Amino acid sequence: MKRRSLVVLFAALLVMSFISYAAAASLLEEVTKRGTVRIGNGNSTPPMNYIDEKGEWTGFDVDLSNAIAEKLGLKLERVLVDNKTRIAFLANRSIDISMANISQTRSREEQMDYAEPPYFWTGKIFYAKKGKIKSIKDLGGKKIGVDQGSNAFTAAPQEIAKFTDKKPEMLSFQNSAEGFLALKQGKIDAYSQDAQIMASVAGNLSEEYEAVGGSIWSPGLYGIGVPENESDWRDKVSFTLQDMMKDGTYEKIYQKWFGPKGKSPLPINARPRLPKDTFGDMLYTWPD
Amino acid sequence: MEFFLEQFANWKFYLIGAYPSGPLTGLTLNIVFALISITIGLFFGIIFGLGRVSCRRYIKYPCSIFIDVVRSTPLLMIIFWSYFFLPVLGAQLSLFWCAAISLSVYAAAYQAEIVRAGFLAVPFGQMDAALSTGMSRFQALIYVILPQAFRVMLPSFVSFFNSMFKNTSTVYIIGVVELTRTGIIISQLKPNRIFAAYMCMAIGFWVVCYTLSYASQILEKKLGVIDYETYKPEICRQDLVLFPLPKVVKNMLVSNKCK
Amino acid sequence: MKFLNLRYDFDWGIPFREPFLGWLITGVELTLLIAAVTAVLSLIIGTGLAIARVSRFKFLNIPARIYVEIVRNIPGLFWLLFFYFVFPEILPFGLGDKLHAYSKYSVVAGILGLTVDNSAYVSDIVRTGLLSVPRGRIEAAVSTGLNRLQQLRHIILPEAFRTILPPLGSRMIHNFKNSSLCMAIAAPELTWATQQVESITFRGLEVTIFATIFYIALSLIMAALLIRLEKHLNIDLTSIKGQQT
Repeated sequence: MKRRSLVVLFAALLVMSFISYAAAASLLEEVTKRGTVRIGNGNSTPPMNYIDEKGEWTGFDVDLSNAIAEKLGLKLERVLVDNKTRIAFLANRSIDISMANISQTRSREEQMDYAEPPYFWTGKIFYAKKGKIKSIKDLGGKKIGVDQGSNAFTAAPQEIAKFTDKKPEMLSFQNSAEGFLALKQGKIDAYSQDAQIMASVAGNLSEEYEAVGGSIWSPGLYGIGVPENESDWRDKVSFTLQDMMKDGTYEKIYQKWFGPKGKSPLPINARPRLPKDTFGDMLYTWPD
Repeated sequence: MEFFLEQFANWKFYLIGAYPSGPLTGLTLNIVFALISITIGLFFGIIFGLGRVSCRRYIKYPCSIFIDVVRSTPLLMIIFWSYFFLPVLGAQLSLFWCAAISLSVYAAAYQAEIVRAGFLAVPFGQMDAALSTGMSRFQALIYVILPQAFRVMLPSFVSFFNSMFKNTSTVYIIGVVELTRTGIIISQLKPNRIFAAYMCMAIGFWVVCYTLSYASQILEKKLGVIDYETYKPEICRQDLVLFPLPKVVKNMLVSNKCK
Repeated sequence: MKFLNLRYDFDWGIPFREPFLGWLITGVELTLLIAAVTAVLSLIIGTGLAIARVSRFKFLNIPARIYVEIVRNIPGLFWLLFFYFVFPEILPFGLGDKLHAYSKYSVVAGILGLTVDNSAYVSDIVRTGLLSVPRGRIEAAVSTGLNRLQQLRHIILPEAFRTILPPLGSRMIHNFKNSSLCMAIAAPELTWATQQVESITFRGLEVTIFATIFYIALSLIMAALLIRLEKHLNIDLTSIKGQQT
């Protein structure tokens, strides 16, 4: 009996070890050979990526990934990711590029790399009903919502701890829209998310809400995620992005979404750019 | 009332989404998932169900363990397993197939129990009679046993299809835009219309499920029913060798019916 | 694990690290709490509904039937979302706002939603049991001079519950598994905790394995206890399945 179960165990292990994958020379070669690039986009964070009322998958990330695939000369295979899988799928090589409003953080850097430069600059705010919460200090002991998968779940309490001893109570929702609904209904006192996402989720109700303290509490530099330790591929993606910034493709998409006549106009300039006092208003690209 | 009329403007999004031009979403996607999972589930359900009544131990044990493990895991966990674990094994799956596979695994385990119950409902004399006419065991299974068993199983399959259709709403958690997600998206585009949006979602589910349950009631009256949800992991003493459970639990699990 | 060539490095320390361990423990507690409270509530409501459904009074009979037909044909997930997001909106007198502000409302909504879903199925099962009580027993009870309530209390319900124990138990196990759906409404139960760990560390397989083992083990233990209870009550299981509809 014992011997037989050992045999069965070894047979199972043998079968499982066949389910291995051959390590390719480099991702760049693999993608070029395949002819398609797999880009992960989210679908629940307007205006970056969402499903509109007609059921179409759209958003800034979505348009930008279309443009990148076109520029790379590869066919695009769009993969749906969410806040939890946008990095996990890169790590297990289910996707080649991840563009789903990923803010660059050091802890994420362990699992993935980012193309240069960050393609969109924004920042996390605590969003609350107007006049209800004056400063971050008042958030101590309050209920704060975040997206499940957002780094704010651990970062926000650390930030609030700088001002007050009272710990906030953290809740995490499946997406920003559910979180905003909870904020509107008073289930939470503040919601922490990137500024332009909050404005877009709130839509025409945004008049009634404001950022606590009127400013961001943590920068959010959205990077294009690429798999860890694939520098050829990372360079290729970086240069493609920079080329698009140079030839105006990026600007066109930016205007479509965030320009004064765009779908979600932004008062601030969120383009990746170099410091104004040193360089004037130059976009952040590398010289040839 | 005008809330509801306003929602009817969105009927296309609720039912099929942007289908011909974009991806299929909404209620139709639920039906597609239910159909796919029940078809794949039926195929493997027959294999596992018949495997469980097999006399050969190396067939019986894996089948029993598969069925019992899947049936005692929440569907949500199965979905997360296929969502997070299959890519680790190197399988490149789209979200659609990821959801379809997890639903199929779930369906297979439950349908295996229906198949087993249906198979056991056929009198054993039938098999002997078929063998005595010179059929092989396989032929007897295909031509004599299964047709009779299917007649017994049919009502259960219809009511299981109903239950599976409701279970397809669970895949909304991993971001599949089926009816639940559709309703949520619409309710969030217009937060003051949340009640109407949820009602439309409920009506969509209700109409399909009610039709199905009506059909299954008619069939049940005609053919009788097997309770596929009754939960009895009939694990034999030997099966439990593979389970790392305390002895007390093992002894409790052993049913008298198994030899 | 390297020889399996998985695209994943297992780090078995993760489930035992703070704050993950804390989340998992709270998750287990909450899962058990939700499952237990829901089981009790849905048993009470379901029995009430079943009695109403077999009653002769139309004003009891018809509402109960409508309730069951509505609830049974809509997924449980819908009820959870409904009770979390919509239910407080339609309550009058500012009661809804109080519910919104209640910090554990996600758990309450989870219990309410699962109870509504489960009670309809329980009522179906109990109704089957009530109908399966032999006519002769009831006539005998009438002849000893018991009134209708006493008949129900002393003769019909005990008999019915003995009969329906197996399907009822399996329904409760199902309900225990369904408690994982509560993660959709941010109730910090076990499935939520595993997803939270996944979303923070991007390595959730370890905790998912733990959670799956927990669910399987508890389901099997409950099934084992059920079999033992059946044996104790000495029911012939084979006769019950499927015939008494």
